[in-house]
Amino acid sequence: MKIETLTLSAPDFAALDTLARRTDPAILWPVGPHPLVAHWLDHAVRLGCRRVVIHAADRPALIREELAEGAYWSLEIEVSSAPAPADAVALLRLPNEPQRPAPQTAAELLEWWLQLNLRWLADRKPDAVSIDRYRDDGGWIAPRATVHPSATLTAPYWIGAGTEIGPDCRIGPHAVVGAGCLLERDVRLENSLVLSGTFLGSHLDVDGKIFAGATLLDPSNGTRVEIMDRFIASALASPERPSGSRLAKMFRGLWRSGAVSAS
Amino acid sequence: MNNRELIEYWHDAGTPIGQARLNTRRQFKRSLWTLTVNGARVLKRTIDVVVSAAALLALAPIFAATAIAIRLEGRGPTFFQQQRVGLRGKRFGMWKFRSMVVNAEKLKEQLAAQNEMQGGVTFKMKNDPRITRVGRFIRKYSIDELPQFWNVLRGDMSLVGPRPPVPREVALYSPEDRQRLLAQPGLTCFWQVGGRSSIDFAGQVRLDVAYIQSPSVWLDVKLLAQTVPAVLFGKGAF
Repeated sequence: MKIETLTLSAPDFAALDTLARRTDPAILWPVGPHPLVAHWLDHAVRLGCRRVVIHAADRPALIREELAEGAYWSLEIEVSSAPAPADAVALLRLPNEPQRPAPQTAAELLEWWLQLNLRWLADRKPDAVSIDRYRDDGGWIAPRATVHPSATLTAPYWIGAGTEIGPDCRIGPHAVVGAGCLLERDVRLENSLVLSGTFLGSHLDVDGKIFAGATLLDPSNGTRVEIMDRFIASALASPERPSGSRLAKMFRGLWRSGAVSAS
Repeated sequence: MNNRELIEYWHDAGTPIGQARLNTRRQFKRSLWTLTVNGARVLKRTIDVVVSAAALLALAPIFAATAIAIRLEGRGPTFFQQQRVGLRGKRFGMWKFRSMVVNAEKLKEQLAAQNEMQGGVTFKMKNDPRITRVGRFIRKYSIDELPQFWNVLRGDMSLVGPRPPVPREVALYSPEDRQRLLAQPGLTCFWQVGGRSSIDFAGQVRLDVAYIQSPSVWLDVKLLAQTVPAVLFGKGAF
């Protein structure tokens, strides 16, 4: 049955997000290589929809910006801050999954996010055309990712684009490593999610956790740890010293404010 | 890794000198990784700029001759800008020499039933009545595509990458087909070299996805080299 319009309801977890402290609403949190909402937009394309309405009270402007008016999906996307109608699909799960209860605590929110990623990984079908390479062992590797020959990979796992897995690492089962990560040496990763642009130093044993740069999140007991030693864990993307463009921006700001002048 | 090595590592990590050493090693690895990841992208863009600028200069006489031939054949513009779908669905105007009659888009709707492309996503006809005499010649040798070097120079396209589709085709894509939009579109790719229009749509998607799976500058150079004979012999073009 062809549906013309798919109506989605984005949950507002802003008050609950005291641990991950994300700058984006939950429907933009990554599930595999894409935000949660992108999986639903793929689903809308499969259903033959032409229009998707997303009711979002939490930072709708960011959602609009991220989805770029639906150009990638050729969909007409409307992001509304009005309350969602009763028949709207709550974005608490992936498409084709049964309805799930909404998390009630900060720890449950982390667990919800981790489990979304692990279920996405477990449900991936090898027969679909995908830019990720399906390996004989049942895992997935995205383009430009490199794995050291001495590393051990146990399915299911997904390694994002441009990620480097170092010697003696043991990845999986149930490991989602985002794009552009660097895992140094002898890192064991199981039942865990590592977000894009994370550096993990040698000899780490990670089970049932979420790593976001230098932030370690434990959904089992709702803890957040900021790791100060950069050689243990850190963000790769964040500049460690002012880059040329940041200095130029700072100088332009000072110039406009009159603090610096030509004379 | 035995326990002794592990103990030594973490003992070392607890001392200021050990921490400085590990931070230096991290910084080195990070720099190497950044160089590897960004190096290929920078190199690809550099090749795009240098080759497209050189091509626009070197092919100027062919541009002039083609423009004169199109103008002599009939009224209408020399160049034709068509909306195409680029990286992540972003639209851009792709330049071509005009090879069809002026009202070609309107006529296409009338000819839709005669589409010879399997799957019905893309539209191709071997004896398309909309194509002009000059158009038939410049399409056979892909001369009509040469203005796209300007798109490459501008950064809308790359020399090598999946061919940019038209929005009407993209609207019919499945989520799997859409993955071909995850790379910068290009002048040539696997299926341009391997058979051009004679490859069906599913085959084109498979080949585009295969390219995105294993991108490398060396592969780009090989595909560019293979494109020249494919174009000169008009393989699969109509």
